[in-house]
Amino acid sequence: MMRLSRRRFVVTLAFLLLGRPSRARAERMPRKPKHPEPRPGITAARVLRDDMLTDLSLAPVFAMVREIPQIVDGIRCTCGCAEIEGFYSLLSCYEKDGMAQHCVVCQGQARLAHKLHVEGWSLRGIRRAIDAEFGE
Amino acid sequence: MPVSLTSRATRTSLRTVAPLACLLAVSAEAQVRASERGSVSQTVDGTVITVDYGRVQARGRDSLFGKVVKRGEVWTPGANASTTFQVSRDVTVGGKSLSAGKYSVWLVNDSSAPWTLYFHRNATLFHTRHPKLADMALAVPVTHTWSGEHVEILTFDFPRVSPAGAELRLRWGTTTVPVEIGVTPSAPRTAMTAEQLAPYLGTYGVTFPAPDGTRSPEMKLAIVNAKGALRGIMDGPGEVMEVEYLPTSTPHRFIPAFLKDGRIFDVEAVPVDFRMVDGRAVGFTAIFEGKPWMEGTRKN
Repeated sequence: MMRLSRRRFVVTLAFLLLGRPSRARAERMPRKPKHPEPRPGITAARVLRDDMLTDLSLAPVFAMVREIPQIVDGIRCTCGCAEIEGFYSLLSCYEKDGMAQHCVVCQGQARLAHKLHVEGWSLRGIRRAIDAEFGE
Repeated sequence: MPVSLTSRATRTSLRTVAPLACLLAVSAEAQVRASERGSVSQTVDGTVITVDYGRVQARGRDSLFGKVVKRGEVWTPGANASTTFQVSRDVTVGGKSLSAGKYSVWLVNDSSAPWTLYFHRNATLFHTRHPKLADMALAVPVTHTWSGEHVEILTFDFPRVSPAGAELRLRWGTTTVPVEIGVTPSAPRTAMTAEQLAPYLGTYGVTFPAPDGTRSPEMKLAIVNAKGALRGIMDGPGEVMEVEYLPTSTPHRFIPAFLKDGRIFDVEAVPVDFRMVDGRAVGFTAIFEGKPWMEGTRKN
């Protein structure tokens, strides 16, 4: 027996199309993991250039990150690097010593973020997709 | 032949029969009982849980557990015919397995905690004929609490229901005895291998039928491998929704389970059929009331 009532259908559709998120409900929901807010004016200036990479096969991933620093800076990496001092966001994994070169989680998150961003996804949706696939 | 009501024999018979007749008449008509029968039922994911019991009243008595129901007494939590517990599917009670069926229920309130709730396969026992503890189908330790609120009439209810089960609660006087009932999931979450998941992973554009017969604007759906589960994330203007697609015995058919904080809170019997080309999903259709409802087309 179908349990999807017309009411649910209408509510779901209205939810999706009109979008009225409940602030109270949103505040009740635990945020795990907590993603950082993208820093205003953030750029990819500190992302490793191709000539700095030890493995050039990873150049496309770094190029993706360079395209969307304002998105990648709003994502908390779940590989454990978030605990490193000076780390702010997934973008940090692609800066300095470029630890993302050695981490498939960092790479996978960047690929997924880039793909979804290109398709017009919101940062909120990208975060949820990354949490679902790479979350703790 | 007319009967004389004045005859001695008739008068004697009437004197004998009349009270009995009155008694029978009263028995047939009157249903007022000190402890009226009551029942409560709860459905959880298709499993129907029903408790039927005599609703015994406190009637000013104190120390219900200890005096009215003596310590160590094997007591059916109710009155007259034993309290029954019926489940339409296999369940767990307090974490222990109990097969589908109807049982009589018994409670022993030991002075030492915890008390014990028993289930016996004979569901038609009278309260004075309690079965031997050794013959019980299940014994579950239960923790009782004393609350300040007085409940005059013995009451069973389900104060908490989740997709995985419910809390059955007994209350009488100031005593509360809760027990967790776990149900068998209708669509169990089974882990899939990366190879099994791979054909469905990707992004899709999704539309719904609008009431005016047109289709809704396209929504964005990403299906990812969430540690062995097929997880759909829909990026809408209002809220990001998450759905887990539960596999069925039909190839490429899944049942959507809505998630909140990573936990299933609602499973909808709306099968989602993926369209496959060369072993890869190119789209899907959710069937509602026998008709196509949500349509998905692969984007990437």
